[in-house]
Amino acid sequence: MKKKLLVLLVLLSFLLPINTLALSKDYKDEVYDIVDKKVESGKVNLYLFRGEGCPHCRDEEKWLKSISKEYGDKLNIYTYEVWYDKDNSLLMEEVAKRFDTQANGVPFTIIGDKYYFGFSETIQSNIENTICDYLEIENKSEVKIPFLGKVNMRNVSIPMVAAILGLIDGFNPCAMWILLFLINMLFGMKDTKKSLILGFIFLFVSGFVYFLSMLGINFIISVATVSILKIAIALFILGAGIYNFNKYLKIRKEETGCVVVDDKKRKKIITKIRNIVSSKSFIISIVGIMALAISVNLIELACSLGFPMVFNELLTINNVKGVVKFIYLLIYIICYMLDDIVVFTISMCTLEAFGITNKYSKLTTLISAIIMIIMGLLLIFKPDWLMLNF
Amino acid sequence: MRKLVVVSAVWCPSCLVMSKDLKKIKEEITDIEIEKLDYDFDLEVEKYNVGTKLPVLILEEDGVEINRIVGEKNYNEIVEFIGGK
Repeated sequence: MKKKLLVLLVLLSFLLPINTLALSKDYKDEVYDIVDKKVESGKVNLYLFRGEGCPHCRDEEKWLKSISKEYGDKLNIYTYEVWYDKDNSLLMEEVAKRFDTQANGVPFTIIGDKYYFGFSETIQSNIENTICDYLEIENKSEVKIPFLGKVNMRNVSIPMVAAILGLIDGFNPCAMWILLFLINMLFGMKDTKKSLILGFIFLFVSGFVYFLSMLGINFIISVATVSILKIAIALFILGAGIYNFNKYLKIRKEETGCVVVDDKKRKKIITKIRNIVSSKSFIISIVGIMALAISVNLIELACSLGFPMVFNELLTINNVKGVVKFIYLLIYIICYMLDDIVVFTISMCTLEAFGITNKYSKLTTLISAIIMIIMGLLLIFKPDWLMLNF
Repeated sequence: MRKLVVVSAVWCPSCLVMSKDLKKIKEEITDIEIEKLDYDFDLEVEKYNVGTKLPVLILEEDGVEINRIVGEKNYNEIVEFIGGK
């Protein structure tokens, strides 16, 4: 028995260094002598030249901090401030010379024999791939998907979250009744082409107004760098979650159905829709339908403000910017509008108003409540967890 | 003579979901009259004093209300409510 244990221990001792100190043969630290750092076996050195106050540098540092936990002591990160520190600035020039390039911008990142200027999602994913290649470990962020090949989960996870949150938000029945009423009025029009145009204009403008509102919310959240404001946003989301949970408790045992809301407001909107659809001038009808979509969606935004805030917080925390942010917001909006588009298309094809059962509305109220409560709590206590590092 | 009064609205998805079942019931059960009332446009709705949830199904016998149910119901529930086929 003792012999077996000894053999096992000896075998394990062989395996241990292979696993922990495994390092790609390709790894060659090109600049360690310039910066006067050691190359430790089984470890990778990452050098970051940054400027104090440079936003991209701050983003990269934040990200490096989050991944340093994943790689533990296998990754040594050395940072050098170059805007105010002349010695570091000279050091950066020397390092750049080693790669036959000019040090004309920060952040400037060096790992092994590779270097990167600037910081974006693509660069972030390249840096992580390089680290993984050198450490000879599989990039956890990457998964193999048939036909698509290797896909970075970090890039896939946010659109996926966008689609799911958008769909749940779309089931919020706030604006659905206006669409259904409009469909019924459109049935009365003799010209099918015109009624289709009016319906799609209503849907498009509704989506566009929601998109603009999302951008507005995103702007407010991204400039809210003061911690008190951040906490206020988190508390709002938490409050919206508790409100929805309370609402769920109330409706849980009630009969499923449609609640009659605000008689006066509804009758006013009904009259408006009638006037718009029955107008003799098609242009007046178009302008009217656009005005209706804008006003209705602005009012109804308050009905589901929590979810757009949750998604925008996720975008800000995960540092999604520029065109990519627009694309993710579009994915959210398309999924948000999906139920409306389905209802409108089926109704117009069958010439019979089509409704989606309200039986799921209780469930979506509960799901929304839980998501908002969890998000609110995480934003207050553990915002790091919301970095989608799968 | 039994009569089923259905108070619904064009903007209510639950009412729309139920309308197909009601159509089927109308074809299958001939000894009951089904009257549809629109919450927003039919003045008659007022006399039934419906609450704040739609649809409302009111069962009448010789003009007197004998039972009512509120909310989204499926085919079997409606058939059971009106006393079977």
